[in-house]
Amino acid sequence: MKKTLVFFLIIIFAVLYGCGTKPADIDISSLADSVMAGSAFSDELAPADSQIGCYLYGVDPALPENSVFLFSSGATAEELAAFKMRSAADAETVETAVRERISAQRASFADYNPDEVPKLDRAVVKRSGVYVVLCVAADSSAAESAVDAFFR
Amino acid sequence: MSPFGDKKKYSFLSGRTVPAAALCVLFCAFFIYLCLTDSFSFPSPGEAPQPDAAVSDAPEIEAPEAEELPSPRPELLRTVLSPGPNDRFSKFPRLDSLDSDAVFFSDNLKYVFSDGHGDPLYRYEFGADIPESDAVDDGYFSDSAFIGNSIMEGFMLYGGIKTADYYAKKSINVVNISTNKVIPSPDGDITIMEALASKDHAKIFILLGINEISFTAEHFCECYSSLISDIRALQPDADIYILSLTPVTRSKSEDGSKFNKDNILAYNESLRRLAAKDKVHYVDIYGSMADEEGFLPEDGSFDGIHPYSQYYRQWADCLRTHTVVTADRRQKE
Repeated sequence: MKKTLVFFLIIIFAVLYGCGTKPADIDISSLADSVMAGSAFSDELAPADSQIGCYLYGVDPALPENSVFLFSSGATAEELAAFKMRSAADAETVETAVRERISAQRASFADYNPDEVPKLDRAVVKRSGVYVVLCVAADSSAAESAVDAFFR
Repeated sequence: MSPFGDKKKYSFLSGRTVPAAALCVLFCAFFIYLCLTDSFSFPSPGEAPQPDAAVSDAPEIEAPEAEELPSPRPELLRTVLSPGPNDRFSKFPRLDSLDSDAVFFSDNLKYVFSDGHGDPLYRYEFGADIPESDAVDDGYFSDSAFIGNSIMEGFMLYGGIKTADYYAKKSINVVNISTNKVIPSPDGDITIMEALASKDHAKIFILLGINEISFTAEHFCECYSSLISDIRALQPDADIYILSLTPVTRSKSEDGSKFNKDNILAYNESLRRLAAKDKVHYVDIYGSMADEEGFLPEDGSFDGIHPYSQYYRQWADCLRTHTVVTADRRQKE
């Protein structure tokens, strides 16, 4: 019986561990659409070419398996970027690039349009497995809720 | 011997062993069910580290090879320079007779300028509106640089011309374009002028002015002229194009700020005169984005100044159909 109990406990712990580490496959385009469909953004965001998006983020365009970039008209700091990388290590690299993007934008908007700086301070950055998501939104709570729905 | 082991040894579990095992079985069954329905996933073996992905160079866009140009064909000249069906972009200048010996052109009216630029095929004065012509393909811009401010950033994002180089950043004006380090490079951020110096360009398009709206027009043009001289020093063979300022919405124009239609049109007129004085090209992109009353549509901008994405595509279409068609200087010699 002791061996049986231990066996079942191992199974339970193994399953619980597995449940916590790898999310199901995420369609980052659907994620972006979902965030956009809500009330998170005040500016009109438009999709941009992945090559340009990776350039602005300082990311090697060959690294992401897939990426989505939505930028504002330039009037605000609002934007959305989602990456599906090929490895967790690459995702960590991109998260660093994303945070550097936020810092650079913050410095830029501090002179250009200081009213936008709080949005950058509340930027939503999520990394899980091979996925990295950034939202700079007027309503960061709404953005975070929409993003979290894909990572549950 | 009991099948559950020594009852005495495990006496503290007696009475609880079977229910505990049953509970474990139920939990396991439940989680296995969830896994089978894809609600959870088992841990995958650690992924082998991927070798650094080879950096794939952006595909080189080769400029079309220079064509062998046939003998002069005046009837094509008339075709090229007839007002196009969309006169919205075209203010057609009067034509005088040309020195046809100096004129060579091909059937498709597209040119590659192997030495950077040549002489205009038609009577064209710097500062005048460039006539509308057949649209060039985007290979035409593969030797071009677009430099400027946040609105030029928007053009980079949404204009759709992916073959050119862009050196643009918000807050850039005619003064700090030479001092603010805003362009990333392998050795750290550099200025737009330093970025421009890093590569030869046959055409350089400049969009500046909205951040300088509080300057006097005279001071603005003095600074702009100085910038043109600096660009010429860096890129002596390049054709330089001054792009007009872009329109603002009526509500922005009437909110009491300096970002109003009258100021912007006055700046554009000053830029046109500057182009004539400094012998550079002037492209009126204002008309490609404005409505019949000369404003950016109200639903065309968040802040009344920065256009939404579709207006950048209209701007790009304007550039594709308002190119300065010249003869390759080599052909004349």
